[in-house]
Amino acid sequence: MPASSQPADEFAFARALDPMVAHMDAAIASRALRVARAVRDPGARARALAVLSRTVPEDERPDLLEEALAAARSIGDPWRRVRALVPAASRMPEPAREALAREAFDAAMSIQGDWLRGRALSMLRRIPTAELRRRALEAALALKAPKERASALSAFAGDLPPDELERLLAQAESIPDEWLRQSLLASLAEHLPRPALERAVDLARRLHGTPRALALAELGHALPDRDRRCERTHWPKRAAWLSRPNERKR
Amino acid sequence: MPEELRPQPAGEALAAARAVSDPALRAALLADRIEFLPEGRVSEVVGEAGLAAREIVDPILRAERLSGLIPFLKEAERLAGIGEVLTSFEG
Repeated sequence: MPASSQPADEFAFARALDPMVAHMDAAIASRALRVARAVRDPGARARALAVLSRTVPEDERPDLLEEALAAARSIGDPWRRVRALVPAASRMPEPAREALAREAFDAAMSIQGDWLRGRALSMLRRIPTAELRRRALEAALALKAPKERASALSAFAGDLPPDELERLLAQAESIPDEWLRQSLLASLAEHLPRPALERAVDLARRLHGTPRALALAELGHALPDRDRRCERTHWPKRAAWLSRPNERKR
Repeated sequence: MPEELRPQPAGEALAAARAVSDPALRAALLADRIEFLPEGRVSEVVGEAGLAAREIVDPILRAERLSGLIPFLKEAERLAGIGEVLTSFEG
């Protein structure tokens, strides 16, 4: 990366790799790896290396992921450390993944404040181990702040009992931030029973602009086929760049 | 089905994307429509999104938007496209 680059640019590099990585040949992958290793921000470097692990032969992958993990472990702030650990941990082979899941969980639990801890717990869902999923869900249920708890729990919507889903839906109504409400409705959409789904549609209609469109699109996907009738593929896709409000204005 | 839940006609969504003046937003909106297009129209809209991306002054944001188009390029064009994106980050 150029010496003048900022951490935001370095994270942009990691994001840009995602759609490209499946189409790289060995020469391009090696070039991308050189850029990744030059990234100074350890969180952005860890993410870039984890994404690029897909481009190297299988027997070289653990070493590259270890390099990503080493970068992640050098981060003192536990929230940033969890964000950096998860992409590599989720790509690790199973035996190593269990220990990494525990490490990421411990880092998440050391975060002060329900908002970031809740976000970190949501993120842990990407590391597919049953024990981590159970512990992260328990920790999310134990969060005190209602908005933060709802937001964290929405990542585990598929694991929640119907009464907890109902409570989350009721909470969504009281959340003034429309992006957060949209995110909550979108996460719940696939898991709500029919009457609750209709209430969610009503809530989505009370949103405005892009959050409204995104929430309605997600809920539309969750409607039974008989109600959908029109071609599903024409629904607006939930775009990654729209789900990152902080980056929309760049 | 409630009226508001009916899908927007693809052509209407595409027209709305084309009407956006900010090139970064236009590039993203056009790219977002590509996978819903019939195959015969993909290259036309990829080209439009690419032109919009090239209007972006910030080289990093431009590269990020271009990267999102890589999966839709013809195979023969992909490596050159990836190379161009990487160059922006190599500085």
